[in-house]
Amino acid sequence: MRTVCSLLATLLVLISDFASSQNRRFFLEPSLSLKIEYENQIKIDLEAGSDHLIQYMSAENYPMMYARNFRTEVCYDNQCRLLNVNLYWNPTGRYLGFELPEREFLSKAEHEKFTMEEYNRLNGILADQFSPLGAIAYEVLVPKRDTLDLQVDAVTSATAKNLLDYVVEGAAFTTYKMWHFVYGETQKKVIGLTEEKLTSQLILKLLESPDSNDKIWALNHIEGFVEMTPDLRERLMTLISGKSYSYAERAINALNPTEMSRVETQVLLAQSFVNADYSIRKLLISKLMGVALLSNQASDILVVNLSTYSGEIIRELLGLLKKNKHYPLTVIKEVAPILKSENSFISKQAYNFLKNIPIEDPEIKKQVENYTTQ
Amino acid sequence: MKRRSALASLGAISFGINSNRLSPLQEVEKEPYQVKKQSFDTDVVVVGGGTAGVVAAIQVARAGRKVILIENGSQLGGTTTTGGVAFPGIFFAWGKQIIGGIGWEMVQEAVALNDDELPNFSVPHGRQHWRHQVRLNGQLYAMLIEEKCVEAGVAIRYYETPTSAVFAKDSWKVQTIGKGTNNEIRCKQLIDCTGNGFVSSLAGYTLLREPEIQPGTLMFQIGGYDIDTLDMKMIQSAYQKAIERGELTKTDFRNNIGGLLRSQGDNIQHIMGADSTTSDTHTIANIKGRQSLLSTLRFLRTLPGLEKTKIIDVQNETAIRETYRIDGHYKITHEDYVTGKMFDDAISYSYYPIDVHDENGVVPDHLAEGIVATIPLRSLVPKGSKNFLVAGRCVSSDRLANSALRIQASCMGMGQAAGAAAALGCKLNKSPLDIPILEIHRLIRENGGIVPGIS
Repeated sequence: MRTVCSLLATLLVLISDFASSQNRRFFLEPSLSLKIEYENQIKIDLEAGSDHLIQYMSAENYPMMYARNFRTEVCYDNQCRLLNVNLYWNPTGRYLGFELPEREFLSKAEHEKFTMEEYNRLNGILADQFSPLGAIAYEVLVPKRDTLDLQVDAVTSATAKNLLDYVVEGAAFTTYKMWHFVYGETQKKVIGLTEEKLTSQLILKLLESPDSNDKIWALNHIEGFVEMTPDLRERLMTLISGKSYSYAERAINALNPTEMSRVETQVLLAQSFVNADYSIRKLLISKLMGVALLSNQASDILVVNLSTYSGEIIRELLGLLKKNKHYPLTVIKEVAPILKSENSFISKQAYNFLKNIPIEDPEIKKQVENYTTQ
Repeated sequence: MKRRSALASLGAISFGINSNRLSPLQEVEKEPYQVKKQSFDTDVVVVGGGTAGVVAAIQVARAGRKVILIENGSQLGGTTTTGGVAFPGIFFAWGKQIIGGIGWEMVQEAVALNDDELPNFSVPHGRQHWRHQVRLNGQLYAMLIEEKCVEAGVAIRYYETPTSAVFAKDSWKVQTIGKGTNNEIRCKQLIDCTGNGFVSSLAGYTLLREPEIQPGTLMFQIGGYDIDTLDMKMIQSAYQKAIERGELTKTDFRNNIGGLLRSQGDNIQHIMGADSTTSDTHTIANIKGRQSLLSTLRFLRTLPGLEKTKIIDVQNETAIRETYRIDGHYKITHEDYVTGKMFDDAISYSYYPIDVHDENGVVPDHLAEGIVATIPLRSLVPKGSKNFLVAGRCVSSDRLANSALRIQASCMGMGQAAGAAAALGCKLNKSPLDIPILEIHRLIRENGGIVPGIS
């Protein structure tokens, strides 16, 4: 009878292991959702020696994801456990997921296996690139008696008590170690390899990612990395006119001096300006201020309905026109009525602009002269 | 002595030194420190050139009103600059900008001019609100905001402080004193942005304060050691013994010397009871902050691996979290804040965890998803006042709500609203609460500000 029970117990363990082996891949949503066509094995040089990364590629030659196997002993307080895990990254370096090789499992203290909930929790923890785990020594993490009441300011990091929220209970070192694998040297290699393959088309694909950080990554990898194309330009203009401040701000930053010298780009930005909110308007004026020569077409769009803007925006727009010495009659006619604004800050901006430029229209000339005598 | 002759004398001194000759006989200045009595008339006086005051003054000036900004220090920016807490968040909540206008304009320009990168605001910060903090170059920011004041036409008066504020015949008479100056300033509207309700007190309005206030912090940076090579267990043990011997104060670094070493300073020190209300109290706070840093520095340099610990930078004064609050027409409660109560007269959003620092440190209590608090105009107006507003951390609120409202971005939002209300008060000859709220909303929005429930 005892033998039968023992056999049954062994069988249950085997079934459990088999069942869990079906669920040992824990992935987040990928940056790109294209079919993987082939893979490259790439040798990487690291501080501790060289290793290999697998680069998974699409038919379009886009890097879809990267993987690296980590096989190491994790030891603390003279207790060691083997950690054998494959880590995956998106092409932007964002954590994608982890996978346990067949028959491998993660364990907690006393070699207790992770539950499914704990695997999922670990996956979520590893996805947090800003985790306090990145800024602390392991000694701080472990809730020893002499460090239990540690408190650190909220601005710079969290309290030690709160740090326990950033690890899987009973597996602090495994969590800590894996987090540092994810955000360590390998991540930089991944980003470097993607940068080598960047094209405008890949940037456009990454801008379709469901993940916001991927989009920001892509926007930060335009200037100096890829050529501007009509499609990419159109996408940037859409983001500049969109509701997300962060995307708009990064998209404006992505326009380099060459791109900004194009009349078409200036006109598109001027059109975006008209319907933008205050924060984005300020960014757009600042961007246009950096242009060596602002086109008359863009200037003309900017000054339409000039008097409806706030005093500060009027001040900056007039500064922009002054810098570009753009004083056609249409502009002067937009500025002149502002002399009569009941807001002296605003009327003064118009006066300061008009007083130093040649004005032929006798009526406007008179308005300027009258302003000086007020 | 005339300026030209004074400069000539300086030139002579300089020439004398360079040419290794004795300098010629110097002109003698008679009565160099004679106090000059002056009178000014203006539309609005803003007292306090800190986070809220700068925004309020610029808003008044951009609304076309004459404004004098009185600052008792040497630069603008207050906690952000002189205090060194150069991360004036938080301006975005749940993926949306909630504080914009003049305050964000200043921050945005400081970021661009320093080639800094803004956080990705489209991703919620979770329990780590500091992810959405924008780190600024404090000194650059101080210069930028001064330039903005000057461009807008704000008359800045550094090194001055008010000594009285009296309301009579529909206008305020504010007496100030400074280096060689003794001024009487008449204005239609007065804004108290001292952060301490100082002018409110001078004007005779009631102030509120609990027996306990949040600690202050002297911001600094230390270096000269390698954190990875330190024996933290030994250091913590030596630290505990130094506290037991009375050489160090437990609360100064929250009983956590490791935290100080890892953060290398920054927002880590706690000066219990630090109060900036008067010269007396702020002097004590400054001395305590510096003494605490010096004694800790000397202690650290006795430990293995920390012998070369050094101070890299220290701010000029201890930054203050809490002093007095006004007793306003409405007191914002903790319940109001954490439920995101939308007031009919809301003039700005505010978004931050409930964040009370005490002797043990701080555990921020985050707002529930989607919650953004609002600030009613009534909380900026002391009971019984006329033509008077406050903006900043002395807003009428209970202590818990205040621990979140005090944050700089919220103070900027209040500053713009107070500036708008004061400018309209001048135009309409009305006290702030008598101005149609829609008019105030309109002016705030015209100047880029974000009004709850509208923009």
